[in-house]
Amino acid sequence: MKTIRWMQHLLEYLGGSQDEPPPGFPVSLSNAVFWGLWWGVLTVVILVFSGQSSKFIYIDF
Amino acid sequence: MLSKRQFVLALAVTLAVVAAINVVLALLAQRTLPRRIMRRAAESPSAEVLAIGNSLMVAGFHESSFDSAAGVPPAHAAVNLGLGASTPVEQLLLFRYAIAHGMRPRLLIYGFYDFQLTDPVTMTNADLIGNRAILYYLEPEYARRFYSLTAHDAVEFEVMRFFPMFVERGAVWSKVEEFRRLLSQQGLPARRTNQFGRASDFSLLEASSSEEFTRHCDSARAAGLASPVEELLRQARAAEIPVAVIEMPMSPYHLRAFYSSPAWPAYVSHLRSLFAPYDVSFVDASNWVTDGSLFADNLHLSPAGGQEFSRELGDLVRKEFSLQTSAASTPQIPHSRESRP
Amino acid sequence: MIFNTWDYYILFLLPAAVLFRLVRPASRPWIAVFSGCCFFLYFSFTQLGGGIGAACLLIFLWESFISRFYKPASWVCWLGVAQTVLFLVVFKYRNFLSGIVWPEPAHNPLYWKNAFLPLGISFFTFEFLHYAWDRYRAKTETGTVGEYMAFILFFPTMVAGPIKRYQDFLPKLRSVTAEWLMDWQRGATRILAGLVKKFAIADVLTAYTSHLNIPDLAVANRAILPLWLLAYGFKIYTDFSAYSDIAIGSARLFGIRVPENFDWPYLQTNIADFWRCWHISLSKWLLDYVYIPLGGSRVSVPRIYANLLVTMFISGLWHGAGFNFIAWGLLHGIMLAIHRWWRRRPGYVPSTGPLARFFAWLLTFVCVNLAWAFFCMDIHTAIFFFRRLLLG
Repeated sequence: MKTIRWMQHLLEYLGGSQDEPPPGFPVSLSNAVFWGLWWGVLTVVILVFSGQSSKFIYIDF
Repeated sequence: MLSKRQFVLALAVTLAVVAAINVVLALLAQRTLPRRIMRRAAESPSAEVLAIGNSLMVAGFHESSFDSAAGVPPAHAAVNLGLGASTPVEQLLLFRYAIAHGMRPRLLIYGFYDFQLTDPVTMTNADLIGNRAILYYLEPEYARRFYSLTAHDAVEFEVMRFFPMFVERGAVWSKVEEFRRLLSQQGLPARRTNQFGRASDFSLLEASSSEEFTRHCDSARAAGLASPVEELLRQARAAEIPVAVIEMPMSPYHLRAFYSSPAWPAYVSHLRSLFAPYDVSFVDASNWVTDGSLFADNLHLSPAGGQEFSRELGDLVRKEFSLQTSAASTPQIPHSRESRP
Repeated sequence: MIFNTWDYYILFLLPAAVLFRLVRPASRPWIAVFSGCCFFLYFSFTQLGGGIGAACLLIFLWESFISRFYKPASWVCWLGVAQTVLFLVVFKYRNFLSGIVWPEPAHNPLYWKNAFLPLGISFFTFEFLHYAWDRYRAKTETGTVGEYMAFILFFPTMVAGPIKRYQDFLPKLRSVTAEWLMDWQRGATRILAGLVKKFAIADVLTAYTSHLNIPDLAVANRAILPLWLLAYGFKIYTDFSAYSDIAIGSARLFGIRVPENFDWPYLQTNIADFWRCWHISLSKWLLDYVYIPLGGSRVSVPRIYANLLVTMFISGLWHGAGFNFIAWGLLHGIMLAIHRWWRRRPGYVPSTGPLARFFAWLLTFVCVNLAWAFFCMDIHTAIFFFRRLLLG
């Protein structure tokens, strides 16, 4: 249970819901490189998956 | 406590990641289909015959079968620059690209089906994905000229075309779409697919009913050629390149459901009259392939069907058009003539 | 969808959030009002009904006017409640309700052929109702007209909630947090995470959920049906919680913390806790403005069960104008009633062992996901689904 709650806290922290990291997590909000990389990863994932409302008939690109 | 410096640094790292992705995409994009076709055009300046069109031409025009039947020597082999999911605008651009890279074909073969040559081409920026993304990097002024983008879309277009992640978004999204189709297929009977996608999806590119098709024929008879088609024919005439417009072979279903309507030959007759100023040869090949098993779906020929069609087309070209390697001879092109061997 | 457009971020969110921070505090509500009006007009015009959709901004302007006359125990508050319910009935329920009497649209004299929903009507009407009722009960101050307009026109929460409370919003509007860097860091992260949830999870799951129709259900392998329904359960959670993430993250850029809307609902071990964690702002609204006014838990046991059913009936109806939504709501009402009975039966001792908690979680999870069948399919299709699932 403790592990689950810790994971929840971590996901919330990485997702922007929590302002404080879970106990023992080494990355604070001031770690610019980490958060820059994290935002970059999220941005790339968004760009990759954001085309699903496009109606593909022909798919040989 | 977060400082301004840390926040700005985080933003800078994000931008660096996004920039890196753009660089990677720019490199990977060299393998996309439009760019491969452009390279093919640039590497084939001596081609005697140039074929353009959409995926029907991609599927239907088999270069080697055509060359053998038409007697085109290997050094001047025909080139198929057909581009799937393309409109006359992209087809015009590829023609221009080929000519700009030294190609002087003795015949331009332009395949079409249904109302492709007269329907107005209307796109939004959101439609410029996949193969149509060629407009972002190949003469983008043609997009502005022929697509009538709204002011909003025009701004989006101008911004997006500088970023590979936007230009090539369709190619990336198609991979996700393939993954989705894999998931979607679980637990359901297998669906027939071909090189272009799911066979049944291409029925969406046909009219929804015979009545709708007939209505479309009637309204299209009041229309002129679509402006990019006119431009293509004009530029071909200026370059003294004879054009053969081919009504592509249609599946028995399509012929039965749509082309058997009397409205269709009336439309085709109208179409031929539109070609009159351009010295275009018209070939009705719609019923050249009658075996339904030679079609991959309602619209596209299968590889075997493409070979059969290409042989017949090559045969026709050999008999009706004078394709000689001598630059001094001028082909004699019959005026808007159809023939069926 | 609005949150996945460039226009939302470039034309509205970023300029409004920056301007909101830069102006003096007295002007901040008017920035929210102006940007909210522009947002409503722009997206109504481009996405919903064109000019007539955009004209629905007049509803907000009228509400801003009439709300100035709300006083504790005043009949004007009841007028406000009545007019808001009328807006809902006319726009959202007219065709459904009249269709009960005249099922055929062609023979329905009240049928509205080009019916459309004003942007965010399900959410802004509940905020109107809350304000009118709480003013009646003297549970909230009037605030200035600018502050109230900022509350109802605050565009991050306009389209998909969370449903705000004026007494929570007002102090935050009046004293926006000074740590704007922290707000922007957390807000941007929240927005990005929400978009990832929406695109990379919710939209991918539609590869399964798009098959929840009779033709596909009829030919599918039976073993895939639970997966399709489970996919819907996760799709609706990630979709809706993503909208909330983006809304909350957007509000954070303004320095305004709006309430959380989801708190790991699928990890809860009973249905009551599920509803404390799922669409929290709506659950609280229903608790405060439907369940408690009906008597809540301070009445006889049969009345309590009836109150639960009525509350969840309204919840179902709020989600959609259709019998399947009503069925879904009533199912949850029944589950809540059963849970209440179970917890209050003589000799009941709550189990805290891991196995008991696991089975409690499993039961809750399965019941909630089975109920989604009525949310995502009409009743006829849902019955077909269960028939295929259980009988082949």
